[in-house]
Amino acid sequence: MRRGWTGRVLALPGSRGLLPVCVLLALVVAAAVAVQWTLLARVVGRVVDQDVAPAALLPLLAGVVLAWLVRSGALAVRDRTAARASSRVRAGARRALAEKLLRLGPEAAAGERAGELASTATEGVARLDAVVGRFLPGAVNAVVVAGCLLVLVLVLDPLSGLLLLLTGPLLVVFLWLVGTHAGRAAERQWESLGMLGALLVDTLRVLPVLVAHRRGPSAARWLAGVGEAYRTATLKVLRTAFLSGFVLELGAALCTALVAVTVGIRLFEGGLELERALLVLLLAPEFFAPLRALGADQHARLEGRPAAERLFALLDQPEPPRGRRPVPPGVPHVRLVGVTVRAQDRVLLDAVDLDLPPRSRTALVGPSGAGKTTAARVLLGLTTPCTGAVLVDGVPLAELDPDAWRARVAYVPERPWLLPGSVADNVRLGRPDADHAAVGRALAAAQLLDVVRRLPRGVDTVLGEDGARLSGGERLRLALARAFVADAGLVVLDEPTSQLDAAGEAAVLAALDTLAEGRTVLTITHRQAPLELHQRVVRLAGGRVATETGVAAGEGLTVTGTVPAGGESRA
Amino acid sequence: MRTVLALVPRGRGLLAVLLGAAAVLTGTLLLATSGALITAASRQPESLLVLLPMITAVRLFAVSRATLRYAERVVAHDLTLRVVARLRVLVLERLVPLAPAALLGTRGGELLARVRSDVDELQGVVLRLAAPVAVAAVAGGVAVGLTATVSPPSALVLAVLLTVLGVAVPVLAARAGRGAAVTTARAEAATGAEVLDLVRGLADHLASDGGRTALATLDRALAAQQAAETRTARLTAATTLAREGVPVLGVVAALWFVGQDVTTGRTDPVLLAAAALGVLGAFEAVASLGPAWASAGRIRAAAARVTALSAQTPVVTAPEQPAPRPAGCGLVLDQVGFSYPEASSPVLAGMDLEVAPGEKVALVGPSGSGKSTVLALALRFWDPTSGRVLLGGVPADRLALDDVRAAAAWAPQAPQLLGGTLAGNLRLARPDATPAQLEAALHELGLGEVLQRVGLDGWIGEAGERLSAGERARVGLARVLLGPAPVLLLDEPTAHLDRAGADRVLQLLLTDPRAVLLVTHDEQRLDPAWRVVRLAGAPG
Repeated sequence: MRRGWTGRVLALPGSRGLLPVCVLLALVVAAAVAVQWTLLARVVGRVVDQDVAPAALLPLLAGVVLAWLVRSGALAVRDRTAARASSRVRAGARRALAEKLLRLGPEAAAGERAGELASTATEGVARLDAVVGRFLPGAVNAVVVAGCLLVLVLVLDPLSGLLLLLTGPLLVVFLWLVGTHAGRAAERQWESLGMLGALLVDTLRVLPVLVAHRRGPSAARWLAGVGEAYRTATLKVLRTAFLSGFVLELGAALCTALVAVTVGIRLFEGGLELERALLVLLLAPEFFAPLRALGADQHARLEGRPAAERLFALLDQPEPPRGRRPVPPGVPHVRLVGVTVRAQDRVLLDAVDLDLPPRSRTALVGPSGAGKTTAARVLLGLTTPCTGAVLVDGVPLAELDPDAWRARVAYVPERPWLLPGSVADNVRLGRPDADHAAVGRALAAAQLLDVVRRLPRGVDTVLGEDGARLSGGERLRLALARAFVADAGLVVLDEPTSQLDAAGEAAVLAALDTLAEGRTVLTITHRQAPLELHQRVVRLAGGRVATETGVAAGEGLTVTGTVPAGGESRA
Repeated sequence: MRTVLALVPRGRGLLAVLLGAAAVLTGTLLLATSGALITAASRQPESLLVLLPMITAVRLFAVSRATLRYAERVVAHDLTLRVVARLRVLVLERLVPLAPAALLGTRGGELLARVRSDVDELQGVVLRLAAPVAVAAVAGGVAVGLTATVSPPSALVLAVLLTVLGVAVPVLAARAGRGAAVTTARAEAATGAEVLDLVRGLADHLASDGGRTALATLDRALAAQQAAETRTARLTAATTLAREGVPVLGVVAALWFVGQDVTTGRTDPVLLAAAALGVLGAFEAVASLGPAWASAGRIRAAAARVTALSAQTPVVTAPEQPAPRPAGCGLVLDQVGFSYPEASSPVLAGMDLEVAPGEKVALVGPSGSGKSTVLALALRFWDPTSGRVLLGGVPADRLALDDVRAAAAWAPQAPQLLGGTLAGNLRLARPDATPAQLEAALHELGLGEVLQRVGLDGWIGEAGERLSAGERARVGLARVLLGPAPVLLLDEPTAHLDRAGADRVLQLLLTDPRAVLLVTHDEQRLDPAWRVVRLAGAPG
């Protein structure tokens, strides 16, 4: 399995081609290292053994410098190539994750905590850098450079070569043993990091309320406690993880010392010449250097493992089947047939039947938690019923192309989501190619023109994060303008006026009345005023349809008591 | 930067530096002694005993190097985690006085990404910046001194090259990389904000345009981040070239100068290989400075942003000598005017309002007429631009902030629930409440069904997302009612409720002995017992 996830990271589109480049550059490095130390050993040998002055050895010294520079250049090129590949991989992974989430739908994001998802996409993906940017070039170096130098030492001095051959693999085994242990611990540490991030975010989000309850200082104390626990946990992981570095370092240093001592004794006995002995001594640390670096890179790779696994688990999640049938043109006839929705252990909708004929206007009422919003989500195809179906002109919604369907449905939630862009950008969300005049007409229909005129740059005024410049009623009417410009056949409104005063509500309802012309409308509300615009009131209770009443008939309205007739006469 | 460095505990910092320098020096000495040993052996002295001290030294250095390095890494990482924990708390503590007023203007997602990623970036302040610099200075200095005992010219060259690699190259690289560092950090924060926006608003994105706009925005952010990272990668490659290439000059210089001394008989030949290898090893002292300075720009940018955050002046400050907590608990607004910063027209002008102890007052008026602002002024989230706010007869700005907020409890329009449990949320208002009291508070608001479903200690989801909007609103209300504050400031508490639920809440408020200031748009539903105050909207 370990190879599995690293392999998948390296098979991502951005990292292809990196491997051959790394191998080529590693060969260059190995050759340059061999040349550089051979020449240097020769210089020392000539000076010490033959008393040649350094001035007579200029070509050799120049050779040392040149080989050294070639090696440095190859390493620099490698670093740059790897960094760019890593950057491509991370951008690609984030993009793939976003697309996947959109295909999976909001239920996937609700199941997994949103903060955790976001941290997988940001910090989690950032950790892939360790795999692509560091581990791959390091591993290639360890194999190619260490391998070439080992062969060279074996040829030069079989005894020392044998020493390296025995120590090297031993170190790799140690590395692997310690690494798997560190891997498990790193996984636990990652979980606590994700939690810590979510806690900080959560704390900052509710800071106003914490301050109002005089809980600011205690929140800081609490955070300090969590941080301390995190430190203890992380340090435990690191103590073990650093062991692999310790073993590598110790093995490399001991082996170098062993080479120096054995070579020294053989020199003393006259079995070896200085130049060759020195070269072997110089090559020993070069053999261990990539292995030691691999230890650090391996640690980084293991830190990336939980993130990568989480990422791939998400990318591998089966997607709900996507319908492909085109959406029938015109105002649709929508029916909910025996729709049941369960979430966790709770039944949100229980065998609900609801008929929405073309150009009908239906109000959905009922106490909080009765399943009204779930019904709206089912209609939008955002929530898939456990049993039962939504029929659009007789065709099950599941068989229709979901994007095409959502393009035909205008959804106006209680607190509509706004782009951080301009007013016009927000209206064009409904139909991206709407021209200036269409945007203006939609704003006029939503009775927003006066408001927009007061903004500093008119329709081009940037609204800021979550529409900070607009009041609740204004953002709602902006969402209505979006629905106007989309020219949708079905309009679903979720508590459109619950946050508005009487005047604001009147403005929204007037806009809504215009919008409803020639469309099918479903409005979730607990207010009285919107009911007047509807022909029919359906009351949900405990996930079931309790009553269905015609507004025009005015008979026994359980919700409102006195609703004046007139829904029909307006049309 | 200084603020951040002040968080480092002195003793542990010194220990980390000494361990690091010792590890570097033992590595250098291991190489140098090995070279000396081999040369000495090749000259075949009379007895092996001559070589014995060198053999012992080589073994000693080999063992101690790995041990010292391990100890240094553990100490330095422990240090880092301590600093980061302190830093998180510092950031939160500095945000507390700014909340909520100064936080309103900042993009929520960006602020969040900023605090998180900046604090994470500042992890490197010890490990990547402060410790490597100190270790380089100590180890480099000792190495130059040791070289000077053999060959002063070589030591001079070594000193120059160490300065070039440790100071000149990194400083140049840092200057070249400063722009890239800032851009990268900003691009990263922007990507984080886009991702968060996509995840949080997934349903809305799908419903509005199938996520096309969100993907396009994300693509732009990703492209910007990639461009910034490409510039950083180029710089990293340049520093790699310098780091790997420059040492050759020191080694060749050592060969040259010591070699001359050897051929002229001034120096023992044993020292030639030792000097060359020792000089090579000495460069390890500055090896981590390249990456250190590459990240220095990012670290400094993060430190600057965190410091700027904490340097913001709170819009309200506590009085130096607060007046004693007043005995009375009436709320008075006296000729209050207020406009938000950067707003063209005032929200409130010459407003008078009195809420006597126990009185029930409803604030009505069109959207944007300043109803919520009145509550924010009563809580002293802001100070009025003109006029006074009095609590129990004392001007609010002469009371301790905690006393102001003890006098008035607030339920905001969008109920802000903590992720966690019902009990945890309710106990915000009253930490010592018994389970029975918590349950009673929930039952009073008709939340018995919720209580049965999730339980007092059941997980209610992030921001309470497992509850419906109406349930969240009522939990927020229960929290306020549970608290001891004599004045309740309620912002649209019935907006999310059905008629029966809303009537129940309004009735409950009327029977409560405390004063209530209620912001509502449901004027027609109010019992005559409420005194209605109408805000017309500010002039202009």
